[in-house]
Amino acid sequence: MFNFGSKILVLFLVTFPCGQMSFGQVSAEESAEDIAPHATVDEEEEDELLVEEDQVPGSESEDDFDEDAAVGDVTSHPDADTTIIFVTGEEFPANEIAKFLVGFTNKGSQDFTVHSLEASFRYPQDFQFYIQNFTALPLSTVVQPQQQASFEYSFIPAQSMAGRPFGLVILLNYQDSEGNGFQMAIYNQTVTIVELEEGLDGETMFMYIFLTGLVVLAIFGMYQVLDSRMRKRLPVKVETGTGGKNDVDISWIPQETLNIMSKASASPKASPRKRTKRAAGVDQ
Amino acid sequence: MRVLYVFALLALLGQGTGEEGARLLASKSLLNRYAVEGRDLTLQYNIYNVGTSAALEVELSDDSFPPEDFGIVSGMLNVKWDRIAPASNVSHTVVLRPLKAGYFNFTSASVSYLAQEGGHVVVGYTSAPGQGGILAQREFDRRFSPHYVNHSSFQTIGMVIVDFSQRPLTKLPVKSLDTTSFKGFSLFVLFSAL
Repeated sequence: MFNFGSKILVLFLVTFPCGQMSFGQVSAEESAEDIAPHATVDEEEEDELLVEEDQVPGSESEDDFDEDAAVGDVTSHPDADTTIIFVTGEEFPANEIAKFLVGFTNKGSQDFTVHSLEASFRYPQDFQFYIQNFTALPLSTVVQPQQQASFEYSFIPAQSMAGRPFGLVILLNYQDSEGNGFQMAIYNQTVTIVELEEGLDGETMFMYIFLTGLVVLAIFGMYQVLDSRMRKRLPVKVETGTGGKNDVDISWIPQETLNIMSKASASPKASPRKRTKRAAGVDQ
Repeated sequence: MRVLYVFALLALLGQGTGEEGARLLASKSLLNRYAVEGRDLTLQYNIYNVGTSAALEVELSDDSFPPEDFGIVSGMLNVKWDRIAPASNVSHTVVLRPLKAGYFNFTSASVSYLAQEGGHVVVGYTSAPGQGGILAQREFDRRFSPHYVNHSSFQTIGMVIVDFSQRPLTKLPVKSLDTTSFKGFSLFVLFSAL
């Protein structure tokens, strides 16, 4: 039904968007080259564009990961270098002390005064949202030219944070001899708080003992129920005692005594069985 | 692909402008929970090498403890290491004895090393524990000692008082003595013992 022309038209319509896509790739490549010097390797940083453009990326920090200043208006001084080492390890167990050492090198010719060191947990998808802000450590340490200083900091992630990822941001605030404030983000990555696998602890042990007790109780209860059901089928023998006159066999008593007894049965005094009236404290 | 090449080049440049050689981070910390005058105070120094080569002729010296305020029980405040390998750490412990109570500012010790063979000496400072209080012996004992004398004296005086209070007061030979004077006598015994 379709003639050859309409087939050509359909073919062109199908291939036309693919052609557009290839053009798009070329243009993206060109723009990517322009922004490459300012891009970060890992997470998106919204303040990226606010970082001063004239800074050379290599001098920002000597770490392998490109790090930007977390706050837009203060940046890091090119003469200051920092390193960090986590003394307690790269893993952060919940409710355990995590300690790290920060090293600060003054490569310049003027004094630096290091003011404070602070750490915080941020929302991993948005580093501007603070989840927990740890106490800032006030340092107020002067670092002279061509010298280094170390600072120790420790914090404890809360137990409820176990198993969740957080953005850990460690900032160092310092100023130069003229009083200009600077801030350097020493660590700016997402970490996951791990939960330590505990072995046998008191709580678990007592829980098992309690469960064992419950099971024993259940078994005992079932035994009792079954036992009571079994017993109902057997006749119950009840002791009644000697009630009426016919239950007792008096044939072993000699005849003379029996005669006396039968005579005395007329008067209630002789046979205690036949006394119906009972009077206490009456002399007869 | 070209983007990747640019990134790789920048990464190499970044490495190039970074430091080569050794880089030492040092921490100084107190291992005691309480610093008490006349009792041992333990200090630990840890030095970590985070650089790419070994640190040579490392010297740790701590002169922040005046000899008249701190006596050295064991360890030395000036230590030398020939070499600290990269990605390794060393630690050093010193036991001191504070001779005076009061506030003391624990400041940094200094570490000097050669980052590379034949390089210049790099001076660094350890972390400082900060200001801490050194408790007097009496204050520490008040809180943590077994208080044997206090407990035993309380027991004896208490027994004395209870003994006196149990005596039947109506059957005293001297009738002029009343109960108030006996209570006064017990209180006198208690307070005089303290």
